Amino acid sequence: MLSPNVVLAIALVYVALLFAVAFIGDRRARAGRLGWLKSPLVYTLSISVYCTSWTFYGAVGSAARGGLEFATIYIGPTLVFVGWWVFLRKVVRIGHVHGTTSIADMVSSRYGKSPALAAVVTLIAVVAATPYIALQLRAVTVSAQVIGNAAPDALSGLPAATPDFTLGFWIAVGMAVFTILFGTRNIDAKERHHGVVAAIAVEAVVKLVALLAVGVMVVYGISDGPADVFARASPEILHAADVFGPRWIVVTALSAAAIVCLPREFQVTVVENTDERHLRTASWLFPLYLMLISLFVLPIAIAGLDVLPEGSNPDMFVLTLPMWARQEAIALLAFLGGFSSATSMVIVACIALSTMISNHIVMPVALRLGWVAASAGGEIRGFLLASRRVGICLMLLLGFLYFRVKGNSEALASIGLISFAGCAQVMPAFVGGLFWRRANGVAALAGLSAGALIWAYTLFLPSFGGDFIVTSRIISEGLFGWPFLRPYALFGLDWLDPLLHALFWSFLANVALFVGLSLARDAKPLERLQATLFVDVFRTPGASATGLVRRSAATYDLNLLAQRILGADEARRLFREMGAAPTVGGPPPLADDALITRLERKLAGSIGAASAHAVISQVVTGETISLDELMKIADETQRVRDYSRQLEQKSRELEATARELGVVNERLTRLDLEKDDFLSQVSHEVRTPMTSIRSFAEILLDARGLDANQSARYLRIIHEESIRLTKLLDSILDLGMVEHGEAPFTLAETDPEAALASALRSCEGLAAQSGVRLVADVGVSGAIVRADADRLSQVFINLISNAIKYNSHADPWVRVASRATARDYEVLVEDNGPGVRHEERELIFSKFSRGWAHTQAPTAGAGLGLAISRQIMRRHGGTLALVPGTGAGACFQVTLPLARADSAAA
Amino acid sequence: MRAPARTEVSGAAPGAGASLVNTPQIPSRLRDAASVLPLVGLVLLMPPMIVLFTARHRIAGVPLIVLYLFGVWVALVAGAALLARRMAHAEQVPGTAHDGGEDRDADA
Repeated sequence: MLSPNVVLAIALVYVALLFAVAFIGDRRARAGRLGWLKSPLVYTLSISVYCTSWTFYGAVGSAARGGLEFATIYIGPTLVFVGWWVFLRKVVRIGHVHGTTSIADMVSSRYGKSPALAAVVTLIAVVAATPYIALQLRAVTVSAQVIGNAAPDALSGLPAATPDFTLGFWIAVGMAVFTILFGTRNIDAKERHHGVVAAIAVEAVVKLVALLAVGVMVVYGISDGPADVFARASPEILHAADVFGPRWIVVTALSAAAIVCLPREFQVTVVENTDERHLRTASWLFPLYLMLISLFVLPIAIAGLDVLPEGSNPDMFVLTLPMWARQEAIALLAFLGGFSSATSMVIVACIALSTMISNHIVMPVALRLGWVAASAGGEIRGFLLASRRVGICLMLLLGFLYFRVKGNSEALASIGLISFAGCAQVMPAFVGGLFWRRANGVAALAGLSAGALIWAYTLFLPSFGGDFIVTSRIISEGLFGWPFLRPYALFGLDWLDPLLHALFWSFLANVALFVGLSLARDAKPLERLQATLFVDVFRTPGASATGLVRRSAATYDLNLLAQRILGADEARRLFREMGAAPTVGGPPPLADDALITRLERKLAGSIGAASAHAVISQVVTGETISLDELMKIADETQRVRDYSRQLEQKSRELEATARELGVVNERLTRLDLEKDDFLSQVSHEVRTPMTSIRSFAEILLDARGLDANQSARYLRIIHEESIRLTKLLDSILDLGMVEHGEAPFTLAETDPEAALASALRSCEGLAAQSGVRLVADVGVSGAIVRADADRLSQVFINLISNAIKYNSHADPWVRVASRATARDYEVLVEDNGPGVRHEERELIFSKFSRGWAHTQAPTAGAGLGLAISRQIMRRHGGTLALVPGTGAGACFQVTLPLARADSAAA
Repeated sequence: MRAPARTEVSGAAPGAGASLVNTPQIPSRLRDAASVLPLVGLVLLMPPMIVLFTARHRIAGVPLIVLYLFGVWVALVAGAALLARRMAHAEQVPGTAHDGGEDRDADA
């Protein structure tokens, strides 16, 4: 057996080694030679601070009592780390972007930098961590006693004897010294505790090696391989039949929550993270570590139950088995492993908790009471460091007191789970805040407080066994004697075990309040801003937040503030980096939003977001949050989607416009061509008579030998040609006027039949002259249209005279028929001439075209008649069209709407 | 080269920033697989699945349930390690801006 002094000496040497590692780590970090300090391996090993003495000693105890259930504590974190992509990655990214200092800081920062929320989370964490720290002190003390052979029966692992509290006290003091020395060198949590992390990594290796060594010794030393170990086991040890019930699920979920919510885990995983990619390595390396830690737990438990005396403390099997086997080196290693797991947990937890206490409780109170007014004298930095050191001592003192009060009663595992259940109350607000935009601060605060109170009443306070606040009377009879308020059977729910019972009620209240109030209440602008920055951390570039908060402050004031909190050197460096070194002499320039935001983030890295916001607010004037800007970055996806939709719509519009433009362009081109045609036709038509007029006029001018007869004939020709020219010009003018609506139209209620009759009369002479039979099939009575009678008969005359003039048939006839339908008055002018060729059907209505050009040589008429007629009909609201007739000849149809439709019953 | 530095760089170009921040160089298949892996673990390690392996059967003297539990555990570790390695690979192929030594010694 080892003598107590040897054990003490070895423990002290080991502690000295840890100090050396921490010291070297710190010095290397200061010199900027981080090297292995920032490797993913060290990062992963530091995360294994999760495996405390509760794991080292307690897992075996748990396995001896409940079989495989011990594994749930490690399966939860395994799943969280294997699924790092979903959750941890986001947490670590937010931690980097916002300079988060603790879990309380992250939660409060998410909910609008709420100081109240940060304080509540801190309070819960402190209360929940106290039994956990006590547990570590107890484990170290008891293990030292066991290995030092101080107890009457060392191998029994002190099931009942009192721990040595003096030893426990000095262990606590030693841990406080180490933590203060290496944990509070600087106040910026973002600058990381490289020395501490290095020491923790060494301890992580020691505890793993120690547990593996004990395991190998058990399996291959005491027993003869795994088969032999399990052969010794009673079949009941696995509890296989009832282990995989609700408790299996709930404890796995609880441990999964704990790996992110425990302040020390948050500290090593998020705050001490130097590179996001390290998380990728930890995603498999940490589960591997947990698997290896768990690997020999069951064999050690089985062997302990088998070989050690009846009634031995299973929580000490890891230590007592090597002692029983007289393997002193392994026993010593196991002791150091347990010592390592306990000290690493206490150190990291104290750093994390003291940071939380100083940032979220001491600092806001100090600001409120004016102890450290940002504008008055006094070094905030020194104050902060002092408060952190006091915080560390306070945590260890609380832990020691709990240890002193609780002494030796409870099994290690149940204390750990009580602590887990307390910390897990943060989970709904935390996870909800990272993924749910609507979640707001009041809801988080209400849920958190309710959950924590129920946890305290149903699990934490009763765990004192009636010694503290909740008396044994309350436990058995309920608060105020009301049975439905019994802590272990709230509202009569008495068939669940206390852990599940407490978790059920606390989470019911917590989640219900959180979700309900989030739905019921709208968030404040700052909350909405933070919600967006957190939920969309991968989609919102960090810099886009700067434009959102409008405020201004004198650079001088800000500089003063930075100096007080960060120290003079640090502040000067920071302001130089930001390009806002204070000018000497001249008036202090105003700091812009970007500078204030950067400074606030920097300060948040030291004193937490809520306190940073509070101190900045003291020197800042006119803080407003631009809601418009906020809405702009509110949802990047939405924005991108909107943008692409707009683009699509625009391109569709553009396409339509282009198509329209194409059509218009085509029409314009056609019109241009038409105009050119028209002009050339006009010049041609004008030129012909002008040429003859000129030539005859020239003849008359030179004509000395002309007789009067000839002169008279020439003059007549000139006269006729002038008339023709005038007619042509009149027609052109007429057409122009009709087309542009300038011709004087006197619309009146007219009988179109009268106009038709007058037109027929006018054409009778021409018909007789040309030998064309004119058949009039007219005689509609009572049809009244609104029309200009002269214009109407102009159209009829034009149609009938065309039909007569261009009819080349041997027995020519022209038939004119009129009728009235329900709404229209119609006139058909049909002939048995050559007709209009198919390709000219539309053309004949354009200017200067003669549909009959192919039939005979151009005679009188400029080819404007049909064009004018059609325009006139349009002005009357009617139509003029070429319709299929009865024979081969052309058939024109004139349609006019009736003025009084009812009177036309023909 | 810390992660926030990357964020800042992308923040300088707000329009393109959104996609840059989200590490697009990692193929979506890997990203989705990384999200699915914990669910697979959850199904395998939770009832009712795990209850199927509670039969009193021993393989080489070790109870089936113990082998199953640790087998799934090792498989999850292997799956996560494989994904991590392939992600590191995918990240290093397009740009070799960072040294990458850290990931290499971790995978070793």
